[in-house]
Amino acid sequence: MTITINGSGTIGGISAGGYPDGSITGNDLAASLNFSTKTVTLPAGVGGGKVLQVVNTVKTDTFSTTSTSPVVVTGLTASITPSSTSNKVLVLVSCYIVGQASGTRYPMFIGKNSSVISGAIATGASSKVAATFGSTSNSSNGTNCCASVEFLDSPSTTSSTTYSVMTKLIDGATSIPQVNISCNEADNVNHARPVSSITLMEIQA
Amino acid sequence: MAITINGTGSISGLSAGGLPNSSVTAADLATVQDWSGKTISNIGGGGKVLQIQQAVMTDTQSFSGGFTTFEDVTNLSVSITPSASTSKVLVMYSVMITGNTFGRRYAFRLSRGGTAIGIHDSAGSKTRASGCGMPLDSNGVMDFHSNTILDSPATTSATTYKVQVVCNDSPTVNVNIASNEADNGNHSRPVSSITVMEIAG
Repeated sequence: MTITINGSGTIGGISAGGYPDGSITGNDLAASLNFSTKTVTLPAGVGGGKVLQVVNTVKTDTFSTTSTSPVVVTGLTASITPSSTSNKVLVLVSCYIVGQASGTRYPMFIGKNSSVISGAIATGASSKVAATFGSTSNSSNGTNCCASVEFLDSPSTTSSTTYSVMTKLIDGATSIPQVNISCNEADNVNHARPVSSITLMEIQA
Repeated sequence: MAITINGTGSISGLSAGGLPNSSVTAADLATVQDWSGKTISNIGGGGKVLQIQQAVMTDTQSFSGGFTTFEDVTNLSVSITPSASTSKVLVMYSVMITGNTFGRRYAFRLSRGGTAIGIHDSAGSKTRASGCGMPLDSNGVMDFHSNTILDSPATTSATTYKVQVVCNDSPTVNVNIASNEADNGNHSRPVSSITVMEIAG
């Protein structure tokens, strides 16, 4: 193709790669560069941090269940769509949870697409419930326990993936797990209700 | 403007955008590129965490008098100035706290510039809080609380996030100190922290 130099400050007809190698410097580039339609591969380690996106849900109401199978704590879920199958997802959970009656036990699990993540629960639990977190309501006053856990998942997908907090009834009818509520709560200002949260961070591989 | 090709290997008079579209490839670029003065948008590979600030509270604070309004935890406060109004701020806190009396309650909340954020829905007369608790015995074991809140402050002004405590019916609430501590090696003191990250919008 013929290279054309016109009188309006433009050059036409240059093939891709038609400039001498290494001839374009930073000074040659426009002050503002928009790469929205470009595929840019940066050298390893260049380009800032590894956290590509952050998703957060704060549960500001309460939940309880009598299910003896793990169920999603309604409203304590967050969805993320990884940009690459090789990326990981860091799941951060803070959950105020308690069994309804004194001395009763309750478990908590991290779930993905409504199923407990097998890598996020205890191993070697024998007949015990393998959980991500578990405790006992150790007082008749039944304050919440703030369970704080982190889990780095490898979802291996670029599809929307929903992570959640899950729980179930394990210790009889009075052990109903409750989220964001104490078991002996009264309706006055001396009693408070907290919030729980789940946060997802896509971590570049 | 006329384009001039001189005999020293350079071209002048070329307008911005004056080269044929897509004609510059990676091989054409100089090995070292200084883009420090450039505004670059929509480039892949970059992170979303633009800055991070943290305050670690290494001392103690006690709240006495059973007051029923939220009071600042002095050193559990951190400020951040977002670079864009579309940025979000991820607030992470870990608080070691307890009341000094068995069975008496306390609560705390997160605030942005004095306005509560990340608190429970309104529920009758109960205190809307970020976290709450109560000593379960007379040994004064501290409670651990944490949460992560993604806030949208919609500002580029300095913004302060802090933890505020209310005694409710607890006569005294202590941060970073057990209520029955003694001054010997069997007793320890922890730290609390609040961390804020600016997340690109």
